[in-house]
Amino acid sequence: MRQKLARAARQIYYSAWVGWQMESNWANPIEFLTYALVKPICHVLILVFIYKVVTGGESQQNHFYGMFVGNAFFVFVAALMTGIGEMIHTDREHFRVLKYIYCAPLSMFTYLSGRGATKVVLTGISTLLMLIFGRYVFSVPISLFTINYPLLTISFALGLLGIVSFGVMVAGFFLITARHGGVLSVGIAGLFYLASGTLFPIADLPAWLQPIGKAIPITYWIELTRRAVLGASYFEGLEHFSIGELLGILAASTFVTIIAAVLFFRAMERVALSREYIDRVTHY
Amino acid sequence: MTETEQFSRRQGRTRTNLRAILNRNLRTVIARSYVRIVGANRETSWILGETILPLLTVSSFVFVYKMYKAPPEFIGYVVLGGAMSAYWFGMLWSMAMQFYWEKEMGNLELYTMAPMSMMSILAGMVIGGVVMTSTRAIAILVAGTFIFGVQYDFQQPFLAAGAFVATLIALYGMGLMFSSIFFLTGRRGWHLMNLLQEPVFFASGFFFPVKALGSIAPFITSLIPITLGLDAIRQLAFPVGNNMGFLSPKTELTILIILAGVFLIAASALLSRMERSGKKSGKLLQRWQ
Repeated sequence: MRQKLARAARQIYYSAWVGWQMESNWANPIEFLTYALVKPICHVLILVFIYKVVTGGESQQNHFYGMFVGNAFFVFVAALMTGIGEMIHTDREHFRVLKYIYCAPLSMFTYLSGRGATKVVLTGISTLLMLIFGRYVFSVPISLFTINYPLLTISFALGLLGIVSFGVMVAGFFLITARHGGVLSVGIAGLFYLASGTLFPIADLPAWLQPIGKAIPITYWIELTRRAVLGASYFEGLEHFSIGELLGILAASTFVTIIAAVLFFRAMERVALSREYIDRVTHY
Repeated sequence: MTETEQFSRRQGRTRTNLRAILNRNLRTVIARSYVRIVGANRETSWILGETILPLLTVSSFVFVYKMYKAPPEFIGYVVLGGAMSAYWFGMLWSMAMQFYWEKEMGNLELYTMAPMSMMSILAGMVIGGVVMTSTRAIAILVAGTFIFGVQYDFQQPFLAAGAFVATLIALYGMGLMFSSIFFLTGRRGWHLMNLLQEPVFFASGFFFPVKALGSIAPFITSLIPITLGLDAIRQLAFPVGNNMGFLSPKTELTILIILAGVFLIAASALLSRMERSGKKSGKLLQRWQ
């Protein structure tokens, strides 16, 4: 058992190292930090300007804070889901190493988790920079002294497990699809963006979409991170849940997501192997 | 053979050669666009990725406007912006980065050796790309319009159509220009393309009127053709559009036509220059850097 764990840890470490090299060694640190900051900041600026155009920036300030923090953390969902999924396409069609990875004595789950770990670190830098930006540019009430660190740590760990599991599902789906330039994974992240109450309370969603929002762990994760960072959610819909209840729902939905991800990935893998898609190249 | 006869034969050969060259390049355009249109449409997952899923992100912004109880025109603004975002994605990933992918896959060396102009390959990519992307844009537009009940009031439909066509020509001209720059880059180019998504969505006002950026910033961001194209179409599609517009639609159309000409000429010049430079430095064949 110990040997197996050590082996898995080694696989995750080396996969993460490969991921780190691929993600970061194309730029110098300044260029890289700019890259890490510009994209999420511009996304938030879109929301800021929507808010400014409609409200004139004079009302619903608290709602804006909730939206800002939710967005800062949603970057993890977008980056991990698209990142883990796209690894399949880049490894299969760009670097053409997926077939070798399948031949190697390596679990795809540890490989994807290792590569995902790199994304977590890089996205963490983006989120941190965004929160600092929000604190000083938009006066979002974030203080190092008022953050609920234990809650943030526990919810963050659980949330990450859920997000990585969704990423593994996307990766499974990508095993049987052609290269699409990331449009597909961005679209799937878009579903969660819509349903998770990141931008607006899930109560404002159409009735048929609300069950999706309530079923996914990301909704509860975003709510908990808002409460941990801001001290309050500022979003209606989940305010009647206590922190303990939210953590319980998050843990349960994350567990279900992990099981579903493993089963789904295995099923897609079987299809991909039987149809010989592992070394497929789509030249569109 | 008299000198006159020799001259006539030479002229005839030139005409035949010219016709052969034109014919070959035309076939290249058709062949390259065929791969895109037919190949991509064989993928059922592509339909899901290109039509239904992009609507979800657009819907998120619509719900934000609805939550703030914004006037209905703003929802139309978002739907139009979402439809045009399809063209921006298409330009970035199916045009600008395509030579990078072709290089990585080993097709680029075949293109450079083949007896046809690289511009024909690019033209084929443009035609195929526009068809593919238009499917996505139409899906967003139609679904967004029906789901959110957007009502358009086109007072000058020909001007709007002109602005749309000029935007596409300028945009794909920009894509051709980028493709010649990026086919010599490695992962840096890929990351730069990634960087050109949200910042451009913001700078071009895909989801809010670009006028909100102030009086000077939109002049700079007008270098991105969609900024002016989208602003013009929004002004022409909604009665209150003029109040939120940056410049008059006619002025925007004129600037777009100029941009289209500049980008196309620059693309042609850059392509031959980059091809020469790539051949000299050997970067044209470099992969996995």
